[in-house]
Amino acid sequence: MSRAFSQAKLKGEERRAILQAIQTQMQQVIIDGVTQVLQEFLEQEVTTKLGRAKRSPGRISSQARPIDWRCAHCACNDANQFSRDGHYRRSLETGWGT
Amino acid sequence: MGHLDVLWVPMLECQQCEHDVVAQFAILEKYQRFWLDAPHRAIFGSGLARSLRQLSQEWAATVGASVGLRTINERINQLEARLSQVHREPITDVPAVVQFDGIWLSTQTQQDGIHEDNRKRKRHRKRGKRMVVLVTLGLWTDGSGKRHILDWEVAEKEEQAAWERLVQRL
Repeated sequence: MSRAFSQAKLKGEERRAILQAIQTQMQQVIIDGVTQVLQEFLEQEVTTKLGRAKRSPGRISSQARPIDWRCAHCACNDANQFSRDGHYRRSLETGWGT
Repeated sequence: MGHLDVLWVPMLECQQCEHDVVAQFAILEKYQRFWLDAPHRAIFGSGLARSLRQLSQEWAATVGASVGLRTINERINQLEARLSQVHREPITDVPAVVQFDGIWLSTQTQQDGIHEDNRKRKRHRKRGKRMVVLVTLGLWTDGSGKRHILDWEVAEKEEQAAWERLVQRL
């Protein structure tokens, strides 16, 4: 960290600046790390719902595998009928700065 | 309010009609509050990695995940290593003087209970907590009058054990 402070006993404004500097230092590490963890949660949740890992072939089965996710069009909830179809990008609020 | 900029959310397609599947992810819906608190937990809380491990256990029970926890734990371990690395960066420009000081602050932690506020809105109970950030500042005696933060440690009080952890790292 390369934030400069005047040479004296720490006072109110300077204390706030130090805390701000610490938060700034940690921010990118936390954002990158938390994003990766959260991304993994999402992928694993899909794996769990579908009952198959990424890039593994879908199951052809007469036995339906109902889940709590539904097709927006035909209302099908059989996981065997669902396949991965890319990703969309979104952001997620965090408590930075509050 | 900050935010995680780039989160790639998986999409699913229905093979019967080739339309999108409405996927509501427990990790985003049920545990939304956790991600809001994550940065705070990382710096001033009791440990982000520990909270994440606890979250992963709860999440696994919620979605019935029998696989995938190992991969998630690997990611958590990587994050933990990066967080601790922040405190292990070598001090290349060694100061002539090191100043130690504690900065006290109050934080609010969310409790399990729900209560109604003055406007009859349901709110999580919160509890204030005092803690101290122990800071070491490097002072240079070259006339520049500058100080730099060398390292820091969050503690519940300014006790010897907490200061020792910080000093030993230096």
